[in-house]
Amino acid sequence: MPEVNLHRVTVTASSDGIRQTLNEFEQFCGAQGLSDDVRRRFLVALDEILSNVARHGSPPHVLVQVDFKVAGNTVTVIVEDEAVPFNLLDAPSPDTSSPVEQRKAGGVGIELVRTLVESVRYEHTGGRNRLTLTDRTSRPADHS
Amino acid sequence: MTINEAHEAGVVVVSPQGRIDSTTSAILERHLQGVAAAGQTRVVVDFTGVDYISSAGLRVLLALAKRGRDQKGRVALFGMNDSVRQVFELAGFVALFTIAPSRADAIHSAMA
Repeated sequence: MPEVNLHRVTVTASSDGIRQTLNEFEQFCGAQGLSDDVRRRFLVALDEILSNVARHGSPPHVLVQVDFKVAGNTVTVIVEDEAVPFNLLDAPSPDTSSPVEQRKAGGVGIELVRTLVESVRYEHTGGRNRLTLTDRTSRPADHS
Repeated sequence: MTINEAHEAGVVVVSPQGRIDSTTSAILERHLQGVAAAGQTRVVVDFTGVDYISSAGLRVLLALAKRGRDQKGRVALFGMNDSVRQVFELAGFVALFTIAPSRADAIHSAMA
């Protein structure tokens, strides 16, 4: 059986809550010896997911529970909130090609969640939104 | 987040340190608005001290690019690590900016 290391953070969907979660994740990565590449992929994804809940989640300042887990060579981050059901994976793809005058940044964050982390799964279960993000603890040097 | 600013050959070089995400992007936004308010239209953003950037930071840079366009200014970026570069690529932001290979090239590009 591989060793499993788990860390849980419960915060409000707010700027302070996001900051606290990101700081805890940084510490978790340091303790687990995760690469900068993997650490940064998850930090961006976490910021996008949590800031989305903070902006659009109803009720405001809903509680969010975040689990970080390393088992074998897999990193898993699970984000659960009790806001109204919302599957961010259903959001439309952003505009990534129009010139600067017409460009809008909307939808870019969700696209980053979908593409930076190897696997993202959404469920609505027990009255909660649950996003499960998984990736390998290390990737080959080139990420093309 | 800490932001340093240097002036060189009529170009403002803005160097944010740390993460640019939803918890810090307002600081960068305010700094860049100050640069614009001072009438500086030739701007270089130095990414050598930036660990990662999320969409909140991209939003601030898009506003900078739009201002640059409106004011006939010049914006150049340099010093991105692989993670920042990848976020720019995935967001389709590479085409919106001059991304220079070095500080000197970025300043040169912003002067042109």
